[in-house]
Amino acid sequence: MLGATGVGKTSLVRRFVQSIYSEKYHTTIGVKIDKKLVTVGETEVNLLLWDLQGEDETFKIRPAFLRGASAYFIVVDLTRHETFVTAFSIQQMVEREVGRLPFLVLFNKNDLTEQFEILPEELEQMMKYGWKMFRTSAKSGERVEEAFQKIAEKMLKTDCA
Amino acid sequence: MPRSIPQKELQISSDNPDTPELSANGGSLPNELGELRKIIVQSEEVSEVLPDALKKRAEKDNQLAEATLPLVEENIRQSVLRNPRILAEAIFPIIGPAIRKAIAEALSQMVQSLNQTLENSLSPKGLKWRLEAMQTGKPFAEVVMLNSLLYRVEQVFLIHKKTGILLQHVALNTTETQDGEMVSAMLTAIQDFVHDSFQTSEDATLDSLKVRDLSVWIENSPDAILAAVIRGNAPLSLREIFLEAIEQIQFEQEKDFHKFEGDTSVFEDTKPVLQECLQMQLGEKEKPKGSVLTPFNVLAGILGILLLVGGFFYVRDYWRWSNYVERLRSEPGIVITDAERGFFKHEIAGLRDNLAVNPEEIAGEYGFDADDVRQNWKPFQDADPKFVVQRAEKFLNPPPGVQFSFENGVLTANGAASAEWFAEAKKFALALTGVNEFRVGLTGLLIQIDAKKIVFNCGTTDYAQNQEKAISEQISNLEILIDEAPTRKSFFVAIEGYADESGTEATNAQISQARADKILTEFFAKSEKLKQNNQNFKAVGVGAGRNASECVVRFQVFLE
Repeated sequence: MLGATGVGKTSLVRRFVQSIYSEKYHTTIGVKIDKKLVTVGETEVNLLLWDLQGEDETFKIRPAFLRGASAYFIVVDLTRHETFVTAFSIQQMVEREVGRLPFLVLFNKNDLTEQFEILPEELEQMMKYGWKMFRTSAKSGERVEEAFQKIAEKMLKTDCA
Repeated sequence: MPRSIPQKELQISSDNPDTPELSANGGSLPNELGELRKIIVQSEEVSEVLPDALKKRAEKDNQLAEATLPLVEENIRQSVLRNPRILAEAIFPIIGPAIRKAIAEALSQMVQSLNQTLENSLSPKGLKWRLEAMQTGKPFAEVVMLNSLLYRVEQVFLIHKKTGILLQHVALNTTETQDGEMVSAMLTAIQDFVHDSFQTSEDATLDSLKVRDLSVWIENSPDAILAAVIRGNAPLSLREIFLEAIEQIQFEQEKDFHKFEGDTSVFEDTKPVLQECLQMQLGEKEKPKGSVLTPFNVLAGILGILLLVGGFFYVRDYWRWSNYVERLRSEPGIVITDAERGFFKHEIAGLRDNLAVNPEEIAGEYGFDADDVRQNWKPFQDADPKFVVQRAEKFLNPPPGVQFSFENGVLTANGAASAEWFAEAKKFALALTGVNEFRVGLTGLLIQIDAKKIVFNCGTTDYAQNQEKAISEQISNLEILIDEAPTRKSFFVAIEGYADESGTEATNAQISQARADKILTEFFAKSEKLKQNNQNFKAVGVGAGRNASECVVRFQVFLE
């Protein structure tokens, strides 16, 4: 789970995952582990979610934490444009460090329609890239389950391929 | 050195080199024979080197054993299937000693644990642990174990190094475990964190984490991480065990590691290996060397002391009671019908003459309080001489000078008293318990008789004044004498008249005789009894006595 600071990575999934670690791990170790179980068709998939500390000027994501990942989310804050820019750099970094992996972009804070800073055109541009995206809201839980389901499917598809 | 094959076996085809013969399956015979020869030679060669090769490999490591293990297992299984007796007989010599050893071991362990349990139950440590058990809700046994173990491996994680995914997890079932998968991922993250944060060399990995008495030991292999959670202080040799385990797993599951895409089921086989790692060792943390104060000893000591003290009191009470009863038994006037020594209270009952000692007071002499002994005495009269005499004195009201004695049912009054008194006494005496006969003591009587004198006016045969009483008393005495003397064959009373020196010898003799006669006559006149026994009396005139006041008549009694 990647993204800039304050995009709402943790809040987004809080309701949907099992946790034993609190958010303080972000600042201490830089990662918090959660677990989520999804079913794709006949297969039960146990997702171990590495919720990484957000990236900003002072802190860059540890590449070591990316090692071994099978897929990733990039979370963007619809109300802050810079987080959109950061998303691109994150994606490039991941591809560089780990290679091509299935990923989804989650555009969070979908409920704060008044404060949107990202334009629909930009979103369309992204889709042209071939990036899959979801509009989500941590407040309402909008489409979070779906996102997990989708990423699991993507991972399995990649496996079979 | 390979042995050379005898050539003649191969000469079959060499006779006709130009005409190759065909074998049954269409191949040329020389070729096939050549193949056969190669095989035979090869197997001969191999058979030469095989034992050595095996030995050498076995010395180097145990890979050979690993490789042949499935074979051996299968062999054993087949052997047992075909004929169990073979293996049974082979193993038989081992079974006996093994069983004996197991039993001895189990027994000693049981004793050990019994000792430990006892120790733990009764010692202040043990009581503290009981409290802890109550407070934390853990079973007491677990608290004991947690407190007395040296170390215990509680969980073992097998983690895929690259992804941090948990491959297998084993734990002691008494331990609470957090979600293993999340823990493993975090552990991996921490490893990376440490690696990044503390400038270690590239290949350095986290060895252990430690907090208080809990440690996590981490062993690495190229593809796997083994993390063991240990409680207590484990010896370094435990690491060897972990290392061996992970090496074994690495070896066995190498391919599975590389192929790993998330399916952990292929790693099920590692479970037994991981469980081997769940070791523990109990121990005594502090044990005083050869302490005498083991709980058992202390308990036994206390019991012993209690017994001794109890025993002492018991015996003392027993002796006291015995002595008390004996004392009462020996006392006259007390008859014991029942003497029971109870646990706290005793009972004694019987008959008691009211002149006898007071058993309640006596009890005090033997250390008993009034409450300790229940006394139940019924009154009676004991014919013990002492009591008879006491009673006689009380009821018969003897004049001073009279003393009673009692023997064999005969109450004797010694001393002088009036005849009336004697007569009354005789009546009442027979009413006294134990008195069958009443007698007057002769000794006293004789004294009285001998002591009495009748005084005359000197020079006459006239009585002096106030002699009537003396006369009648003496008559009484003499009468009693007669009554009492029947047992004596004979007695003789000499009535002796005396005169003073005033006259001549002749006149004195005459007057003394006259006086005696007078008395005699008077006595006979006044007492029929005396008259009837006159033969026992004699009047004698003695003449002048030694003193001037001898104008008297004296009496002297002679007894057989």
